Amino acid sequence: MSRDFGLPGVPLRPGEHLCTCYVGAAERDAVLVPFVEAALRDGDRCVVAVVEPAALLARLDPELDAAGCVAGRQLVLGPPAAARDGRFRLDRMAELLQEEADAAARDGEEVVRMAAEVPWAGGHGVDRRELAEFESWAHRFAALYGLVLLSFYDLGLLGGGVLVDLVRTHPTVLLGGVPVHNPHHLAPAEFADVLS
Amino acid sequence: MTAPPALREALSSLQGLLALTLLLGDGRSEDEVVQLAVTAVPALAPCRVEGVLHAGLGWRTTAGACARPGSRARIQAQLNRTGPGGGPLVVPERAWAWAFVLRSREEHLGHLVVTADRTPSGAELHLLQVLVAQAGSALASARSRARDQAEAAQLRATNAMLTEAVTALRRRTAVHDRLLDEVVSGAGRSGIARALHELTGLAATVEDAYGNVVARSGPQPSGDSAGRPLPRDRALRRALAAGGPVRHRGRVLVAARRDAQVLGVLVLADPDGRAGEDELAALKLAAAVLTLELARLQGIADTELRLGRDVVADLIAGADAAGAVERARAVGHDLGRPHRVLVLDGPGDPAALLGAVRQAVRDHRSPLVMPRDGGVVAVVAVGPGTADESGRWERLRAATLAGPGVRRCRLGVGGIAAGPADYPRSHHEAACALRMHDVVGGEDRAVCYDELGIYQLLCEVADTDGVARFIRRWLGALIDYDEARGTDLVTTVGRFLECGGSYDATAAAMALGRSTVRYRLRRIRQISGHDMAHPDTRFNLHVATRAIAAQRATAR
Repeated sequence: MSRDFGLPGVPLRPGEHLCTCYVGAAERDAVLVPFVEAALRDGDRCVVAVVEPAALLARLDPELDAAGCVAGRQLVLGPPAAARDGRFRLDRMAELLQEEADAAARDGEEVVRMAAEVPWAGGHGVDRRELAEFESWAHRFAALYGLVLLSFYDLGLLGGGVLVDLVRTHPTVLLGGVPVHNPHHLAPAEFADVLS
Repeated sequence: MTAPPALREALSSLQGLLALTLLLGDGRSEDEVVQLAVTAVPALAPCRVEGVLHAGLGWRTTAGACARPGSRARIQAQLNRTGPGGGPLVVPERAWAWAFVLRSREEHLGHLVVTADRTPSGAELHLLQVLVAQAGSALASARSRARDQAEAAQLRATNAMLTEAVTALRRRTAVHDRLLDEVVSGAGRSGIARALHELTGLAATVEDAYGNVVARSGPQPSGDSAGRPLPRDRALRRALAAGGPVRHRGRVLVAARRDAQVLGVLVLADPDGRAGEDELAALKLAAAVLTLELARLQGIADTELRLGRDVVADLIAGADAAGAVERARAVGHDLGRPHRVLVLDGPGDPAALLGAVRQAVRDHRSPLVMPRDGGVVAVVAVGPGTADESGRWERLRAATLAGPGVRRCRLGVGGIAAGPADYPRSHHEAACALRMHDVVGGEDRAVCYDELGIYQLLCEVADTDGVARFIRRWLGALIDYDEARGTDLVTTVGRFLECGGSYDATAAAMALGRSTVRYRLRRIRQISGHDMAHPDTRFNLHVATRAIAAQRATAR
């Protein structure tokens, strides 16, 4: 049964993954901030990996005592995973999210909400195949752990092609907070064929 | 039943393009539109964008062939020949190249140079055409929006400037009204200083043209700058050159002037440098109001001076006495009452002396004074009692000395003028008294004709030859001896007689030893042959020494 996860008009159920596209931090926060605040209000653990965690913390409703939530690990806030050379790595991001999911399971958390910003910063470009694999993994990961996972893509950094690929491979993509549905989306294997 | 993968792939690409269209139309900037469109091309077809040429702006994105100046120029030449619908390009080492036109319905916006290693399918080409069309539309919207925003910003800036100008105008009008209220209410320079202090929060001072403080308001700040006098010349020169307020050692000052003439100076004490644009504007406005006020006062003073000068001139010349009396009455002087004529002189600026005398003799009426021969002639009323008259004249002289620019002042006081016919005489007597100044005194002082004693007679004697003969009769031998030997026997005998025949007093008065005085008197007896023990001889010698002093004073 779907619940309100702070995204009006976007029904979600535990075990679902949704990717969110935007241009600029303001459009990202229009989705991310209500999502995190809803988790804090509902008492769910919320794991957030964003480029500027402190800035996000400052934007949250002061009445929610976000700092206290961080101290109590209801809100797990940190930067996206990076390799030793400082470059963003999707495989490291996947490891990080999995570690947090395992920790939540150990802590007996029933519903876990996760938000991960996928920056690919530094001008290294987008590997379309790697992106497709990460998204496929995110689907399986959310379903396996019964958690709600939002992945965030800044099209101002990553380009319009990422949006086209995500719409092709997802039943629903959030674009600036508005759901874009694609009933004809391709399965990961089918998309892999297209790329090859 | 699920559609075949190829169909779903095509439909999904369309969905992706639709989403991209939504994104492009969502108020993006020109750069965002171009970046999103360029990066979407590889996702819609096996192609890449090698360049974006903006109409009128040049190449904004270059890669591959477009990154090399030579081939870019050749590509641009082809683009110039391309029609409004775009078309194929020849790009070295590329199997396929196409010029897509970025345009709106109204204007041509540029080109997108797209290349591929194989010719795209019809469906792929269609996706690219739709993408470029949407990008063109979004680009036109962005450009239009940017223009609107620039215009709106310009309007906002203009509005802000207007609002600021109106606010400043209101503020200055309020300042202007406040200052004018003070002047209209008759508060004059004190009112201007008070208003300026209240408007700025800084201590305000009004100085006259000579640097004297004539009005002050607000607590003067303590510290170095407060106690030191304003170095006027340099600061004033700067203020005059600037034509407005200048800062000088913890003060801000501005000159109130009419043409080149400085009428006064307004000073704000500002040791902390707090005076900003508003304070300086208030100071400048206050200086303008002060200029009007000082000009008005000077106009009154000029009129008073002219009137007083005419009356005094007529009185002492004995001309049109009746007219002078009438004109004097018009400014509050009743010449039917006793008056005296005063004559004052002193070294330095005659105008400064005149101004100082005007202030010193001023009561509630316009002063009757006139400049004459580098000095000043004044007509002043005499009160019913005359007991302390000499004290009064000394006080008047002291008040004159307190005036700006007056270092020394001598005063001669004429006899009582009971009616218009007496003023020429009183003036003559005052002039005589002034001439007798050195004789009867020595130091600067007020000398009254009435107190001259024998000198009155000596001044008035018309037969000067007779006086000269009298002097020769009694002092001729001593005068000749003094002239021949360079001695001072005439002065000695005169001082001896002035001192009542006392050797000690004479020695003290002449700063000589007693024995020197005795020796000189012995020589005087030998040379003149006069026996000073005889009362008649002493009297005649005394008159002769005073006569020679009066003669010398009159000769000056």
